[in-house]
Amino acid sequence: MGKRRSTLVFVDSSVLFSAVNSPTGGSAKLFTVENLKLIASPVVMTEVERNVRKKLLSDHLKRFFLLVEQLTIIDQRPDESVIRQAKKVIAQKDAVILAEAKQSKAEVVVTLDKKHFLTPKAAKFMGKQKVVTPKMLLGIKT
Amino acid sequence: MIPNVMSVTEARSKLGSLAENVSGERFVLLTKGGRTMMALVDVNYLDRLQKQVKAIWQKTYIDPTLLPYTREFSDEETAEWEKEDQL
Repeated sequence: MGKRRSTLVFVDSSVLFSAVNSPTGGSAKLFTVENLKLIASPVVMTEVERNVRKKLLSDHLKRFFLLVEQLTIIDQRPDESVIRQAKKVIAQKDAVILAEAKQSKAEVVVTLDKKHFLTPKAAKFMGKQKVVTPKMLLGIKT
Repeated sequence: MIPNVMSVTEARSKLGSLAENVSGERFVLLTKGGRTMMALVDVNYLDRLQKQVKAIWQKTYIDPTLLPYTREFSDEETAEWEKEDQL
Protein backbone atom coordinates (compact mmCIF):
# COMPACT_ATOMS: atom_id res chain seq x y z
CA MET A 1 0.00 0.00 0.00
CA GLY A 2 1.36 3.43 -0.94
CA LYS A 3 1.24 6.41 1.34
CA ARG A 4 -2.02 8.37 1.09
CA ARG A 5 -1.55 11.59 -0.86
CA SER A 6 -2.01 14.82 1.07
CA THR A 7 -4.80 17.18 0.08
CA LEU A 8 -3.58 20.68 -0.72
CA VAL A 9 -5.63 23.11 1.39
CA PHE A 10 -5.52 26.90 1.11
CA VAL A 11 -6.10 28.43 4.53
CA ASP A 12 -7.83 31.79 4.33
CA SER A 13 -7.39 34.66 6.79
CA SER A 14 -10.52 33.84 8.82
CA VAL A 15 -9.29 30.30 9.50
CA LEU A 16 -5.72 31.21 10.38
CA PHE A 17 -6.87 34.06 12.63
CA SER A 18 -9.40 31.80 14.37
CA ALA A 19 -6.85 29.01 14.81
CA VAL A 20 -4.67 31.54 16.62
CA ASN A 21 -7.58 32.92 18.63
CA SER A 22 -9.17 29.64 19.70
CA PRO A 23 -7.09 26.49 20.26
CA THR A 24 -10.22 24.33 20.64
CA GLY A 25 -12.01 25.28 17.42
CA GLY A 26 -12.16 23.51 14.09
CA SER A 27 -9.58 25.82 12.53
CA ALA A 28 -6.97 24.87 15.14
CA LYS A 29 -7.85 21.20 14.72
CA LEU A 30 -7.00 21.35 11.02
CA PHE A 31 -3.38 21.88 12.03
CA THR A 32 -3.37 18.46 13.71
CA VAL A 33 -4.89 16.46 10.85
CA GLU A 34 -2.66 14.19 8.80
CA ASN A 35 -2.93 14.12 5.03
CA LEU A 36 -3.72 17.81 4.80
CA LYS A 37 -1.03 20.04 3.37
CA LEU A 38 -1.97 23.50 4.60
CA ILE A 39 -0.82 26.44 2.54
CA ALA A 40 -1.22 30.22 2.86
CA SER A 41 -0.15 33.12 0.71
CA PRO A 42 2.02 36.07 1.81
CA VAL A 43 -1.09 38.29 1.67
CA VAL A 44 -2.90 36.01 4.12
CA MET A 45 0.17 35.95 6.38
CA THR A 46 0.44 39.73 6.32
CA GLU A 47 -3.28 40.24 6.94
CA VAL A 48 -3.51 37.76 9.80
CA GLU A 49 -0.34 38.90 11.57
CA ARG A 50 -1.44 42.51 11.25
CA ASN A 51 -4.76 41.66 12.93
CA VAL A 52 -3.25 39.38 15.56
CA ARG A 53 -0.88 42.18 16.58
CA LYS A 54 -3.70 44.70 16.65
CA LYS A 55 -6.57 42.73 18.17
CA LEU A 56 -5.09 39.90 20.23
CA LEU A 57 -2.48 39.46 22.96
CA SER A 58 1.24 38.74 22.81
CA ASP A 59 0.58 35.07 23.68
CA HIS A 60 -1.55 34.86 20.56
CA LEU A 61 1.32 36.23 18.52
CA LYS A 62 3.53 33.43 19.85
CA ARG A 63 0.81 30.92 18.94
CA PHE A 64 0.60 32.47 15.47
CA PHE A 65 4.32 31.87 14.94
CA LEU A 66 3.96 28.26 16.19
CA LEU A 67 1.05 27.51 13.86
CA VAL A 68 2.81 29.09 10.90
CA GLU A 69 5.61 26.56 11.29
CA GLN A 70 3.06 23.95 10.22
CA LEU A 71 2.04 25.89 7.12
CA THR A 72 3.69 26.17 3.77
CA ILE A 73 3.84 29.77 2.64
CA ILE A 74 3.53 29.78 -1.11
CA ASP A 75 5.48 32.13 -3.35
CA GLN A 76 2.66 34.21 -4.77
CA ARG A 77 2.01 37.91 -5.41
CA PRO A 78 -1.46 39.43 -5.82
CA ASP A 79 -2.70 39.37 -9.41
CA GLU A 80 -4.77 42.47 -10.16
CA SER A 81 -6.66 40.84 -13.01
CA VAL A 82 -7.77 37.92 -10.81
CA ILE A 83 -8.76 40.39 -8.07
CA ARG A 84 -10.87 42.32 -10.60
CA GLN A 85 -12.64 39.10 -11.60
CA ALA A 86 -13.17 38.16 -7.96
CA LYS A 87 -14.81 41.53 -7.25
CA LYS A 88 -17.59 40.51 -9.65
CA VAL A 89 -18.55 37.47 -7.57
CA ILE A 90 -17.87 38.44 -3.95
CA ALA A 91 -18.01 41.44 -1.63
CA GLN A 92 -15.23 43.93 -2.33
CA LYS A 93 -13.64 43.31 1.09
CA ASP A 94 -13.19 39.59 0.35
CA ALA A 95 -12.07 39.82 -3.28
CA VAL A 96 -8.33 39.82 -2.57
CA ILE A 97 -8.48 36.65 -0.48
CA LEU A 98 -10.76 34.86 -2.95
CA ALA A 99 -8.33 35.80 -5.72
CA GLU A 100 -5.40 34.57 -3.63
CA ALA A 101 -7.20 31.25 -3.09
CA LYS A 102 -7.92 30.92 -6.81
CA GLN A 103 -4.32 31.69 -7.75
CA SER A 104 -2.95 29.15 -5.27
CA LYS A 105 -4.53 26.28 -7.25
CA ALA A 106 -5.15 24.44 -3.99
CA GLU A 107 -7.64 21.59 -4.26
CA VAL A 108 -9.56 22.87 -1.26
CA VAL A 109 -10.05 26.36 0.16
CA VAL A 110 -11.02 26.53 3.81
CA THR A 111 -12.86 29.54 5.23
CA LEU A 112 -15.16 30.49 8.09
CA ASP A 113 -16.92 33.14 6.04
CA LYS A 114 -19.82 31.03 4.79
CA LYS A 115 -21.93 34.05 3.94
CA HIS A 116 -19.55 35.42 1.31
CA PHE A 117 -17.40 32.47 0.19
CA LEU A 118 -19.90 29.62 0.09
CA THR A 119 -22.12 31.00 -2.63
CA PRO A 120 -22.97 29.62 -6.08
CA LYS A 121 -21.18 32.60 -7.70
CA ALA A 122 -17.99 32.05 -5.74
CA ALA A 123 -18.17 28.30 -6.39
CA LYS A 124 -18.45 28.91 -10.15
CA PHE A 125 -15.51 31.32 -10.00
CA MET A 126 -13.38 28.74 -8.16
CA GLY A 127 -14.12 25.98 -10.68
CA LYS A 128 -12.69 22.65 -9.52
CA GLN A 129 -11.39 24.12 -6.27
CA LYS A 130 -13.77 23.25 -3.43
CA VAL A 131 -14.58 25.92 -0.83
CA VAL A 132 -15.45 24.50 2.59
CA THR A 133 -15.49 25.39 6.28
CA PRO A 134 -13.17 23.68 8.78
CA LYS A 135 -16.11 21.64 10.09
CA MET A 136 -16.94 20.43 6.59
CA LEU A 137 -13.32 19.54 5.99
CA LEU A 138 -13.12 17.65 9.26
CA GLY A 139 -16.21 15.74 8.19
CA ILE A 140 -18.26 16.86 11.15
CA LYS A 141 -21.97 17.18 10.50
CA THR A 142 -23.34 20.56 11.45
CA MET B 1 13.15 70.23 39.12
CA ILE B 2 13.58 70.39 35.36
CA PRO B 3 10.33 70.12 33.42
CA ASN B 4 10.26 67.31 30.88
CA VAL B 5 8.88 69.56 28.15
CA MET B 6 10.50 72.81 26.98
CA SER B 7 11.05 74.80 23.86
CA VAL B 8 14.14 74.32 21.72
CA THR B 9 15.03 77.98 22.39
CA GLU B 10 14.90 77.49 26.14
CA ALA B 11 16.80 74.22 25.96
CA ARG B 12 19.60 75.82 23.94
CA SER B 13 20.60 77.99 26.89
CA LYS B 14 20.35 75.11 29.37
CA LEU B 15 21.94 72.34 27.38
CA GLY B 16 24.71 71.73 29.92
CA SER B 17 22.38 71.24 32.87
CA LEU B 18 19.88 69.31 30.76
CA ALA B 19 22.56 66.86 29.71
CA GLU B 20 23.35 66.21 33.36
CA ASN B 21 19.71 65.60 34.22
CA VAL B 22 18.81 63.40 31.29
CA SER B 23 19.58 59.89 32.42
CA GLY B 24 17.95 56.48 32.38
CA GLU B 25 14.28 56.86 31.64
CA ARG B 26 14.34 60.61 32.39
CA PHE B 27 14.14 62.44 29.09
CA VAL B 28 13.18 65.92 27.87
CA LEU B 29 10.72 66.65 25.07
CA LEU B 30 11.60 69.70 22.99
CA THR B 31 8.98 71.82 21.29
CA LYS B 32 9.18 74.12 18.33
CA GLY B 33 6.31 76.45 17.48
CA GLY B 34 4.26 74.75 20.19
CA ARG B 35 4.68 71.26 18.72
CA THR B 36 6.77 68.50 20.26
CA MET B 37 9.49 67.91 17.71
CA MET B 38 12.27 65.89 19.37
CA ALA B 39 13.58 64.49 22.60
CA LEU B 40 16.80 64.59 24.57
CA VAL B 41 17.38 61.07 25.83
CA ASP B 42 20.13 59.14 27.57
CA VAL B 43 21.96 57.34 24.77
CA ASN B 44 21.98 54.09 26.77
CA TYR B 45 18.21 54.32 27.15
CA LEU B 46 17.84 54.94 23.42
CA ASP B 47 20.05 51.95 22.68
CA ARG B 48 17.95 49.77 24.99
CA LEU B 49 14.73 50.95 23.35
CA GLN B 50 16.07 50.26 19.89
CA LYS B 51 17.08 46.73 20.88
CA GLN B 52 13.65 46.08 22.40
CA VAL B 53 11.86 47.31 19.30
CA LYS B 54 14.10 45.20 17.10
CA ALA B 55 13.45 42.08 19.21
CA ILE B 56 9.70 42.58 19.06
CA TRP B 57 9.55 43.23 15.35
CA GLN B 58 12.35 41.16 13.92
CA LYS B 59 10.19 38.06 13.70
CA THR B 60 7.42 38.93 11.31
CA TYR B 61 5.66 37.69 8.23
CA ILE B 62 4.29 41.13 7.45
CA ASP B 63 5.34 42.28 4.02
CA PRO B 64 4.82 46.08 3.99
CA THR B 65 4.29 46.04 0.21
CA LEU B 66 1.28 43.76 0.72
CA LEU B 67 -0.41 45.81 3.43
CA PRO B 68 -2.58 47.71 0.90
CA TYR B 69 -4.11 44.33 -0.04
CA THR B 70 -5.08 43.59 3.55
CA ARG B 71 -7.76 44.90 5.86
CA GLU B 72 -8.57 45.14 9.53
CA PHE B 73 -11.11 42.59 10.72
CA SER B 74 -14.21 43.90 12.45
CA ASP B 75 -15.20 42.59 15.88
CA GLU B 76 -18.50 41.41 14.40
CA GLU B 77 -16.89 39.22 11.78
CA THR B 78 -14.32 37.69 14.18
CA ALA B 79 -17.22 36.87 16.52
CA GLU B 80 -19.07 35.20 13.64
CA TRP B 81 -15.95 33.21 12.72
CA GLU B 82 -15.55 32.09 16.32
CA LYS B 83 -19.14 30.86 16.37
CA GLU B 84 -18.75 29.02 13.08
CA ASP B 85 -15.46 27.52 14.30
CA GLN B 86 -16.94 25.81 17.36
CA LEU B 87 -16.99 22.02 17.13
